[in-house]
Amino acid sequence: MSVAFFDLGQRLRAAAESRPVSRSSFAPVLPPVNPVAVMITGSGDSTLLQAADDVRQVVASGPDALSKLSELGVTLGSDWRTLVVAERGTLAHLLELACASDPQSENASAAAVVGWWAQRADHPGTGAVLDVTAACSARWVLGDEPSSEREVAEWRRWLGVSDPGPRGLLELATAVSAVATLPGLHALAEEDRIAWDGFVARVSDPTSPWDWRRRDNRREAALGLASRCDATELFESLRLGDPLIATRESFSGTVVCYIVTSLPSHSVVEITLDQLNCRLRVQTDVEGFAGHPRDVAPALAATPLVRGRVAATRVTPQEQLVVTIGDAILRSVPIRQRITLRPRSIDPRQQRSGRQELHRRYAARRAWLSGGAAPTPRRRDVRSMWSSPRLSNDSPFRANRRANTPRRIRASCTAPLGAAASSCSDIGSATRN
Amino acid sequence: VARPTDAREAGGSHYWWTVGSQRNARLGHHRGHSDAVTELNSGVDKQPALPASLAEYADRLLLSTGLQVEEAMLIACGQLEPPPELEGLSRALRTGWSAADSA
Repeated sequence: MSVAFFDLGQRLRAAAESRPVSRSSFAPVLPPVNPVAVMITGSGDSTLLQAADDVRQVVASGPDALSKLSELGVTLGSDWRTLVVAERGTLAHLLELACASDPQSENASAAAVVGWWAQRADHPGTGAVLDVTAACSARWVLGDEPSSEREVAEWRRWLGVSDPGPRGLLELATAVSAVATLPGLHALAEEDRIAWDGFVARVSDPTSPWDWRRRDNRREAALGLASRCDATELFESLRLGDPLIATRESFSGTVVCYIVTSLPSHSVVEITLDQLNCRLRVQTDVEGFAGHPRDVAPALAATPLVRGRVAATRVTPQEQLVVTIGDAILRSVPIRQRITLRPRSIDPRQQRSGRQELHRRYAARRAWLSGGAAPTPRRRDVRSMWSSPRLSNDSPFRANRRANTPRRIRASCTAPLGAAASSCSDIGSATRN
Repeated sequence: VARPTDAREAGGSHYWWTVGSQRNARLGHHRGHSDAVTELNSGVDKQPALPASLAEYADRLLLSTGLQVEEAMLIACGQLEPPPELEGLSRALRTGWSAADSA
């Protein structure tokens, strides 16, 4: 709840000063690359597409609207460009147009670029697509209720952008990326580059049967999911390196500020938190920096004072939350040192090597994702969580429970907790039987 | 979260509540007023107006605290000292308010 009050404080300030106030210190988006802004209204034959880049503005309607994108130089032959849209629905609409276009037509190249934009848009922090409304919401807070931030018109009004067309979107994109880029975000630009080169190579290969319009096969879907998840994790991790975001998250408990109260051994440190809300659960990898959340270093930019894993948490009789960090690597941490603790930063290089390993495994002949037969579901016994050791064997309650408990669960006693997912079907089928 | 109870047009933020004015028709108006707050500076009349939609939103958020939006604003900008039981709330409001200064 207190994070909502933090936001409210920002909203009240914005309203009092009649200007947006910063939600983040850094730009949460990459600088647009040769941007092209697109707006679409209507559907079918009445579709109206307006597009603009820094030089030209075009308007087209009907199924051939994509041809105007080609006129703006949106083709596979040029380098990749940033698509600027007011909200995600525009890209979905554009993708519909692209999928409906004739693959043999002159618009095929522009349609393929739209397909690439749609793929990259699922990766938070990408420089390929700039959703102006989402970007502005990540950069500023308005002096209005939160739902107003979903309207691009509100952002135009608050930021003084008068052009309601695609040129206005370009102005908003420039404004939102005007300050220094969030440190570390350029790793995602590198991913964009790799994705673009790979996409162009596949589409341009005349011998390849691959068609971007078709659904992904199992292997592509699995790798795509890993790529999207990695981008989401990386972006969230980088955002915590923004001092304002870290300050905000200190009210949600994702980032916590604490005092070192005990150093039981070289690799264990006990800390006492200022407040009780803490989302750092046991086994979470964490790192800590000296000072308050507003002093937190950008992700991977500095060596943390403390690095370790949450080993235990407890609340003292004085209602203070004490967190024990185990497996800790400490760098000259004195008692009473104030430290801000956050989840450990994600390393994009590790993510990339992890995906390469996944790629290698999925390409192996034995992997069922790469084309083999799907594995046969196996039944395994699970430990029943409902049995009570305090009931004696001849207890009438136990007898009654035995009579009503499915046979497979009754027989269970050895499987680890990790088998829970596979055992769900067991429980269902056993109950039906 | 429920929608605002006023029927203003979408995006029509031209309806403004003046902080310190009587707003009898607003949501949560009849809850107990927090008498324990201490006003440090009687600058209520000098406070700017709030968009009606933000006032409605803040009212819903503050429903369980006994505060009204005017008081929340004064607490946020440091002109009003809240009772000790609202210390966590005031810290969040004030940090949010002053976050713009550190940007």
